Amino acid sequence: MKKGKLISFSIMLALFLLISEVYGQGHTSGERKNVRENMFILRSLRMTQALDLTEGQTAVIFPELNRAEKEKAELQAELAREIRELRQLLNNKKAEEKDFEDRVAKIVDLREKVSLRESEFEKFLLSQLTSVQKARYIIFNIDFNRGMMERMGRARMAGQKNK
Amino acid sequence: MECEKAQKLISDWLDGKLSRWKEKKLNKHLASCQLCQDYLEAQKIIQREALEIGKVENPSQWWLQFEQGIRKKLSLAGQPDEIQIAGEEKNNKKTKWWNLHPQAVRAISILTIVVGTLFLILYIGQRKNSEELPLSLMLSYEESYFNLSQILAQDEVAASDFATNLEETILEEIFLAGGEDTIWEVEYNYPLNNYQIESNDLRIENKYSEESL
Repeated sequence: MKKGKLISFSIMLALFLLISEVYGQGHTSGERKNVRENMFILRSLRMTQALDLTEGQTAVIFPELNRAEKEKAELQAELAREIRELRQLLNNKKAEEKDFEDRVAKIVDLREKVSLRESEFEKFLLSQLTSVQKARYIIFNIDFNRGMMERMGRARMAGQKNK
Repeated sequence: MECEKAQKLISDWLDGKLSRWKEKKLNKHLASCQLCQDYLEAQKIIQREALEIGKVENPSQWWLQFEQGIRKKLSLAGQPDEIQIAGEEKNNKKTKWWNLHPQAVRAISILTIVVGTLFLILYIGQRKNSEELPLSLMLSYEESYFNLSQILAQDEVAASDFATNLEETILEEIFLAGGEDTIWEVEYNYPLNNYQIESNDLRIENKYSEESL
């Protein structure tokens, strides 16, 4: 990757981190927030390389990428919280049917919102890319997601061995 | 050269199957061995006589009797018939090959087992992977993250290892992307038991750029 692109990437990243601090939620644990942010950093870095974005494209795409990420991170944090509470609810013998209904409806709604925001960003991203870059993005996405799942699998296996 | 070997070569020479080098050796032996010279003469006479005998046409009845005679002799000796003999000869040839190369057979067997096992591992592994990761999960980053975060939420040790591993990868890849002349440093200092993250906790700075050197 060219030095210029790396500098653009770093500036955008720094901007994102600054914004995320301002909007810091304080609800999620440091570890989880750390994972989300690190995954975003790594994904952005690899995406810049995989798509071979020009400096112009980086300047247009990254602010939108940061905005989308901030919104999705908030939704995902809320979703995680709802699911945690749903687990607790299932163990609560006094819980009523309405409680379950409300919780499930909230989770479905949050998942839809996440999916919608993701699609929205992807639509924007694809409109900025060339045909080859679009094709690269699809493959990059599959490879990155699979890579993360495999990485997690390895971390779990290492944890089990150390137990 | 021994006479026994020389006489075998004489037979081959008369059949025209002897190489020049062996013929030379045979001639050297014949020059000094009267016994073999006599043997050669005798063989020449036999060959000549044999060639003078014309082709004899036996009646079909004779061949039938001949075949029956052989079968009878074989059954008396407890031998199987002609077809079985042919089959057995083939088997003997095979058996001989196996017996002659036991190490090769062992090596081929081990190789077959290893290749088979590897194929099974790879095939089953691939099938398992494709079953574990549905396309929607692979295509959608958020779906993938959601799944991942839910699994990690149940396993604190794995979550910590995963986070550390990610940080190391980022540092490595940023360093590699920066080239040899630039060292990009990303510092993470997240307090794990504190929910609030200070803005100074994470810094990305170009520590040793070309300009600063």
